[in-house]
Amino acid sequence: MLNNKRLNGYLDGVYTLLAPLSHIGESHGPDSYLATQDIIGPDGMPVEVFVYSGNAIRGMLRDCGSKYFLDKLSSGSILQIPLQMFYFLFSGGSIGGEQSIDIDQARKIRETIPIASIFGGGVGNQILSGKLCVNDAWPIAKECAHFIPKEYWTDELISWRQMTTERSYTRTDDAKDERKREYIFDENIKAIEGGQMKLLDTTDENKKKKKEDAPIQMRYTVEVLQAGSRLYHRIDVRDLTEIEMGALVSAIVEWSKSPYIGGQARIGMGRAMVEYHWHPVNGETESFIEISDGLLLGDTARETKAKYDEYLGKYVEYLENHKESLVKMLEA
Amino acid sequence: MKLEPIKVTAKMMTGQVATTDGYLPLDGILAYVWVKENHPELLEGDAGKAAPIVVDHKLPIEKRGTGDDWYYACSFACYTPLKETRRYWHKRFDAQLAEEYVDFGKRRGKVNVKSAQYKNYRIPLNIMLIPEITWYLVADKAEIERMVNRITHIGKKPSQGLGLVKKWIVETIDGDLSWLRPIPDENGDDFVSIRPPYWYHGHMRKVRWPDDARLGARNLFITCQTRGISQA
Repeated sequence: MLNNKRLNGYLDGVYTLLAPLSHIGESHGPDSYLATQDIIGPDGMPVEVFVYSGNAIRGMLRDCGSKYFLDKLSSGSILQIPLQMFYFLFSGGSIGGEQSIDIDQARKIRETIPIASIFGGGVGNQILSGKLCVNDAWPIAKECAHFIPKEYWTDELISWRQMTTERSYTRTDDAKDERKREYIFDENIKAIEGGQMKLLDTTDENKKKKKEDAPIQMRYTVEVLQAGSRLYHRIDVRDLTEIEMGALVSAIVEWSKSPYIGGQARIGMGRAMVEYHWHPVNGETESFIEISDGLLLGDTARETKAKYDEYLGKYVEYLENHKESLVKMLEA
Repeated sequence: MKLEPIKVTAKMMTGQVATTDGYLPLDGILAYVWVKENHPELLEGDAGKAAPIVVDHKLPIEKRGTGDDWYYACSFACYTPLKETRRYWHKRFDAQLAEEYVDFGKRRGKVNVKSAQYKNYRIPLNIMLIPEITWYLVADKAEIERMVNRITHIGKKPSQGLGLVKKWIVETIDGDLSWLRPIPDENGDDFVSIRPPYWYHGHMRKVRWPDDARLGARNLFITCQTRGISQA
């Protein structure tokens, strides 16, 4: 089923933010600030710059790839798997835990689950090394000008600090809203004094409980990278089979269904469009994948994903023909 | 194969290299490349229990020393760190996806993420900011040039993009500086591994370090001494 062709090279491209991006580093009280790192700047000296963590992108792609894998196998319904297998697929597993999966079994899993092979993981007492180096994503800014390829520059570069802004939000305590208060069923709340609720129950235990349960009205601020900012990103791939490359494509395709990075996606932050180019070792650069209004796959991405889907198709057929579930096979 | 003194330089992309001891011996990295090219099954564990711990890497580098104290004529990393920083990486159990995809069977659907197998982690990483790293070898220039270009990252956590190399430069030099490394010496004052695989305890010997400011590990050691930190 697998051929010997191995793909080496790197994908690089740009995330263009269509909404502000929150990626928290430090926080002080209700205020949180963007994650920054020191890197060597264009003048050869250390400089602080916003960095979107490579590990965050890696985790995001691992989740999406695993989701695609399970959804494809279940053909529309939800395929549920044991906790240990879930942890291996979505979080990379752990070593030194339960030894119920032996090395032979781990090898079998690696061979049969390409998505686990490319991201790696820990099984039993063995580490399965991954095949991707998912680098940090850097703002296309002055501070990173010396290593971001010029083809990704647009206008004259500005400092990443000019790309940031602050967003403030209010969390309202609806229990203090007179119009909504009538919906509260709590006999302990009897009266309001000076607009504040008063707890008539004076026992210490109940006081403490009420204090813990009491919602807090607050105003908080999040430092964000502004919509329109662009991040350069690069993924190095090592010795991927075509099916494994297809698994990587599947992860990016799955991500495109909900194209958000960073935090606060619930309020629309982090929506982005993406383009990646494929730079094979000793080969010609080609467009790999483009996610904006729709999804556009380049030749390599389209072909390898087709092979991966075909592989998964045979996998499903195998499971159906043998009348056994994926779960049982993985637990064997 | 023509062995000659050469200098190998890695120009780093962002300069972030995750290392605590700062040794970064190039022959160790090249040994990995050699195994990957010649015996990839060893990296995958496919040889099972029959897998040898030590492989004759046949690196295109001159061998020095006598008997079982031999080592490659390859220096440890030479660099000057501009700054030491720290970053954290996280590993977490994804409860939201677990709701959808985990079959708890007859077990209680509760996962302990504070300890044991599914523990969430926040792991610190020491990062050195290093614009470029240099090694000195007596080796086959063409072959070394081919091999180093297969190396994309140096140090810990390449999977997260640390230690990304922007460009490799390999050039011949006049003098041999491959001695910028621990040399086996019965009267030495340190005990470290002298050849790949460097993690293997069987390769540890009493050694003498050259007192030379170009050695990155020495710079880190002096920094630690100055701060009163014991180096692991």
